[in-house]
Amino acid sequence: MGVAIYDPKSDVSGMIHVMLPAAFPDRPVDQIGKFADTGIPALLMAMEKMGANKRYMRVAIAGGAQVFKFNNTGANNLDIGRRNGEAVIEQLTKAGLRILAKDIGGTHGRTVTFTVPDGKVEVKTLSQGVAELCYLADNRERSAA
Amino acid sequence: MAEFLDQLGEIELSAVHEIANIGLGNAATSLSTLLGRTVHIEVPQVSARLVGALAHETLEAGIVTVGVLMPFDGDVEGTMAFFFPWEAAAELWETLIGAKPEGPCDIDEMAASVMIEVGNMVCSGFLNSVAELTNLGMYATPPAMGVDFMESLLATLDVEAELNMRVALTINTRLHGADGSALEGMCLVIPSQEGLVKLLQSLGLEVAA
Repeated sequence: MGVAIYDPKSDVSGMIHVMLPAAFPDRPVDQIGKFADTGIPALLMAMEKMGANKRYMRVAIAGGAQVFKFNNTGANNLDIGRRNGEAVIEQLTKAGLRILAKDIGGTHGRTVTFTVPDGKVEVKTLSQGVAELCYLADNRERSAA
Repeated sequence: MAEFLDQLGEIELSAVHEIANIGLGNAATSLSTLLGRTVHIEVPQVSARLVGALAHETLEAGIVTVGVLMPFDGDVEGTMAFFFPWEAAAELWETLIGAKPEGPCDIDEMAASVMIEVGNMVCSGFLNSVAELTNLGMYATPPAMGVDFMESLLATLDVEAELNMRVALTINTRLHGADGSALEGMCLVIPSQEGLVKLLQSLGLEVAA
């Protein structure tokens, strides 16, 4: 799941690619950015170090699809995407951040592009091609879905 | 994890290469029988690496791909996956059911279950022959199928590997038809670290997990 954050006051942008909801308690964390519970706080701290302020941050998130949607098992552990989404939203909420736009779940994988300095967030999918999700710089959501 | 990878030298990797060759040869026979034409699977490369960055490293990003994911369990657990570029998958569907889906977003249950069955057969063929060679018990669990850009499919494998410590090794393979070009595809075998240790031990090679 892609998480893009922009603070227009300080003009600081940040982005991470969350793979899993939480770091494993029994394993060393090799890359903090991989997990929602370690990655988001680390990203916020790094942005704050550069002068950003949580009060002004705007966030866009996209991803968390279940790409292997055809299966015989019914129940499966491939639905990690949904849990990633929940964990990311929980972390962002805990930090008091506002999610300006989100495009999560479903069955199509997403490639997220975050352009600075205009804060344009684009999402590419197989079914829709490239679609604009929002502009974090001017607080504007995508007009046409 | 890095220490574990350091133990996998040329001898260990070539042993895995050999086993994979035999296992996938068997899988290719299953697929050939199913398709009624010769399919070769070769293993050009076995690499010990940390899985987790397959999606970022793929050279096939942006290519519409049909993927079948096949977790396996038993003494050696892990994940196998097959990938066919859309055109090759369409050809497979044509051969097997005489029709192909209109596009990557129009897969019906029938088309999906056929592709899953192909995965089942190939995976079982592989596992049976590896199990026979090593005297280890391995069995396939129900596969899942998806159609998306290659990087999206691989991202799921990265997550699966991460979740289950299946981060030991990838066996990259290519498959092609008898004339060398007819059927294009790729197979990945990703055993768990623990499973790989057992596999090597069964061949008389000692590595520590």
